[in-house]
Amino acid sequence: MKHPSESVLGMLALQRDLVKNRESVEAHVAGCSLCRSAFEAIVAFDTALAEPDSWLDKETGNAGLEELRRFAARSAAEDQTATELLAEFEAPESAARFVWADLPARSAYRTGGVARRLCRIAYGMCEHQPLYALALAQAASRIATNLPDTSYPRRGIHELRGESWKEQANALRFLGRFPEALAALDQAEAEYRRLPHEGIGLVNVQYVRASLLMEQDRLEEAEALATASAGAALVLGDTERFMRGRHLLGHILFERHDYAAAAQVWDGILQYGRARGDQLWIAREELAIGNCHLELDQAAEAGRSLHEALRIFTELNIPSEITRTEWALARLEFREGHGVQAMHRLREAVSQLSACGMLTDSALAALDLAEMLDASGRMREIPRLLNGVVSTFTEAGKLSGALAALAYLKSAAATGTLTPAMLTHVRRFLVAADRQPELLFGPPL
Amino acid sequence: MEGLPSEVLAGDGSMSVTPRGQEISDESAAARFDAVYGTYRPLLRKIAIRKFGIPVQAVDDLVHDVFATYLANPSNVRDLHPYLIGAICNASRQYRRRDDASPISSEGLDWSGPPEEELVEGVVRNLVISTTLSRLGVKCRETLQRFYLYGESALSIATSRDTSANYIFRLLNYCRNRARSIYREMRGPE
Repeated sequence: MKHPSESVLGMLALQRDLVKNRESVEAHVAGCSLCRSAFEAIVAFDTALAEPDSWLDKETGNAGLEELRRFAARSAAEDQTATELLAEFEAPESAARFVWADLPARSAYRTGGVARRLCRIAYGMCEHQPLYALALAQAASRIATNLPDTSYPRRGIHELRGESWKEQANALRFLGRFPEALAALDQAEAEYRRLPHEGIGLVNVQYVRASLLMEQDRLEEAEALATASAGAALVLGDTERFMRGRHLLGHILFERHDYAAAAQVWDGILQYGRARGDQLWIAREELAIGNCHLELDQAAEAGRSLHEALRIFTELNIPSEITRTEWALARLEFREGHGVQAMHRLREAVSQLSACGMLTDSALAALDLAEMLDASGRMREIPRLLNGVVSTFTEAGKLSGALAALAYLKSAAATGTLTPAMLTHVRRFLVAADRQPELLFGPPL
Repeated sequence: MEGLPSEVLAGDGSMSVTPRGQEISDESAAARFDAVYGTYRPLLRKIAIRKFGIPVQAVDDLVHDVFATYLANPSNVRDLHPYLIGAICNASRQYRRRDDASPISSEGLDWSGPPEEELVEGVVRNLVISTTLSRLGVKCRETLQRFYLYGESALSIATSRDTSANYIFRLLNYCRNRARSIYREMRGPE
């Protein structure tokens, strides 16, 4: 029998009773791979015709599309206007003018675009100007809260409100106001939970909350949240946020003195950085891994990682990271018995950190140097070193518990009563006070 | 120890942000949205239906939820494609948790259902068929739709047109083969 036509095969698939000589056609199809494959293609096409998406055009059953289209257009217009309106407040020195202007009270500024833009500016400001970042985020929150629920389709307003609370939490975290930061995160999470589905907002909330908990030494909770944040970012295909969550997890493990596990986590990110050719990730992870090797007394590995970090940070010209790496290298050199070289390097690092305005880091590096001087029998140099740090703090107007702690140490060094236990106590206090500036210093018991 | 990368690791990739000073018309933003929507709606629908068993009548609602959340704060999204896929998965899980007597496990990253490539292939096939069908004449299109999509019997269609079921079968066969011919022109041989 010759091959049946497409029309015959089509009818066989559709209504076999209407096919003439059906038995012989079916027998042929069963024995002929060509015809069988053609027949199967027709059946597959028929199956696809029964799927609603084969009949989908843009407008079919699509009552909400026009609303979304209008919203996209409106948001874009609002964003452009907001960028123009807020241009004068983008510099850190605009803080006072911004607070005075009370933008949320002015109708031109009461738009989602302005709230979004304020959040973006706050986001970029919180590390170095957290007070201004807080004012910006609070203004965004006032605007977003006062917008009617119905101003955004499909409960989207909660995304905006959640974002503004999250930015407040971020700024409060940098200000060391932890209870308020946690309360702001609760608000942000409550807003995000009112969205129809989980999005990037909750990933960010989990990340900030994990950072906060780590800074409060609640390491177990922090670890769980950092892991959850990374996992949720991965579900949403946000690799950078996934890596950021993993990086935080490494820090938590480091704080728990699980240096091998921390190094393993950071090594995973290092591989990612290398695969993407992302020099910043590579350098950041090399430094972190180098610090782990340092704690694990793996000098050769530490040296390799730290020198690689130093090379890349130097190429990228990031002075603060270059100095942090120099600091770690000084510690390594000291352990390897190159005391003079190490102390020279560390003295440079202390000056550089002060010059960068990183006063707590500068003080912590000075404490490392004091320990080295003590171990090298050069105790007489310690008071002068600590005097310099105290002066730096005083000149910077940092009249905080940290200053009191350093003054206490300076006095002990001057009277020859300084002990390694005092250094450890003050070091712990400086780290804590950096995160919570309102902490009061008390000498070790 | 070096500092943490702060939460200040924002991404760009906003659909609505334009360089300052560049005019943006409502039409251009709407057109860009249309392009994104047209590209992703079929895939998001397919994922929700095939992987999570979301009912067809509910699926556009979920897709629109995903787009609305994205549009509320687009600069939060660095990479739109994986974000939209992840978001529709989350929205589908939430729907199932809300409306199912036996909610699926939602915490893991694994999902059951067809693999990604199969889904994408299905989406492409549906898109091409949809275009194919729009090129058919009204009578062919309507007949195919009633029979295949709505599951109406040939006899019922025949009665409404005052003709025989056999004629409708022959018409269906002709129209479907015509559609396949257009489909092959668009996609190449199966």
